[in-house]
Amino acid sequence: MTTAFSNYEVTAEDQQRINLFSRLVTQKVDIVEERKKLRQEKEKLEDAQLELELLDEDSEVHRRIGECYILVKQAQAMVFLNSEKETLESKLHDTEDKLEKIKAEMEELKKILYGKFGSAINLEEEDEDS
Amino acid sequence: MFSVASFLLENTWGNSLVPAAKFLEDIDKVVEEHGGISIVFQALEQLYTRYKILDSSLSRQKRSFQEKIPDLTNALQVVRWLQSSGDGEQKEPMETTFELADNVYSTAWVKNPQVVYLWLGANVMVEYSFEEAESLLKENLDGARDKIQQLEKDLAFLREQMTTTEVNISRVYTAQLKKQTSNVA
Repeated sequence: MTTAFSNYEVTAEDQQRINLFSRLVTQKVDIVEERKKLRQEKEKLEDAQLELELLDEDSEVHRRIGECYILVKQAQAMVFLNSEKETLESKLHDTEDKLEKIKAEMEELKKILYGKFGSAINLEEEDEDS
Repeated sequence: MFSVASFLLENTWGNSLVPAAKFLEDIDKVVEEHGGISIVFQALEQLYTRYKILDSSLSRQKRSFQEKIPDLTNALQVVRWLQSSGDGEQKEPMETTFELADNVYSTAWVKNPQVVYLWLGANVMVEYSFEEAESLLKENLDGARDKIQQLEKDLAFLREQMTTTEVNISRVYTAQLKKQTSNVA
């Protein structure tokens, strides 16, 4: 009886690839987490925007800055929300780009490693939500 | 803390904190030179445990820095807002609502603010101009971010060493299996 793995020689180069792959997996987990947070943040901003639009232009709202609330005009609050949303969207965009790059690199490595080790190696993640 | 068998580690400590694990090229030779499979096994397991301990300590440090970031960004946001509110020559007092205690809010009117007080810890609060406060907070924020980045780098390197060790362990294991089966045959 022999395990499948024993039929393959693992070289230092393979080890490098495996290491890189595991590094990418960790990065991916972090980035997916960050993206989730950004998306939630964006949703909140959009909700706030919707509510604000229903208000009269002269009415005042409490806007949170840090830990306190400041009374501002509706129009001011709109300006603030829009700029917040813009920065958030560009951040989200960066995150998506990074994620795409990592995924592409992982696919590349998967091809090489599966090509060599076949079913003797497992490169699948447990739960994927991307 | 890395007083494990040196044949498992690279001589060069590429990273000051984490010793690099050596990829064991020729398992049979290593086993032969270092007193048999069970000893090599033990050494590998020991190394792996060390790595794991280091991993949890670095992760903890990273988390504690990450927790500081929201506080700092909040403070910075307020300082910047105070700064910009002064620019507009807007002299009328601003109405603010602040948290008095958990779930209790009160109202305050801020009249033409010029200075801000930063809590430095240990029951000390210091008066700063907006510019000084901003640069101090910014410095702390950048410092925390740098630290997180450094820790992430260390962690990434450490994880690679762990993977190398994991692969070494499984390769020693297969080498052992191979030997056993060839003995039987």
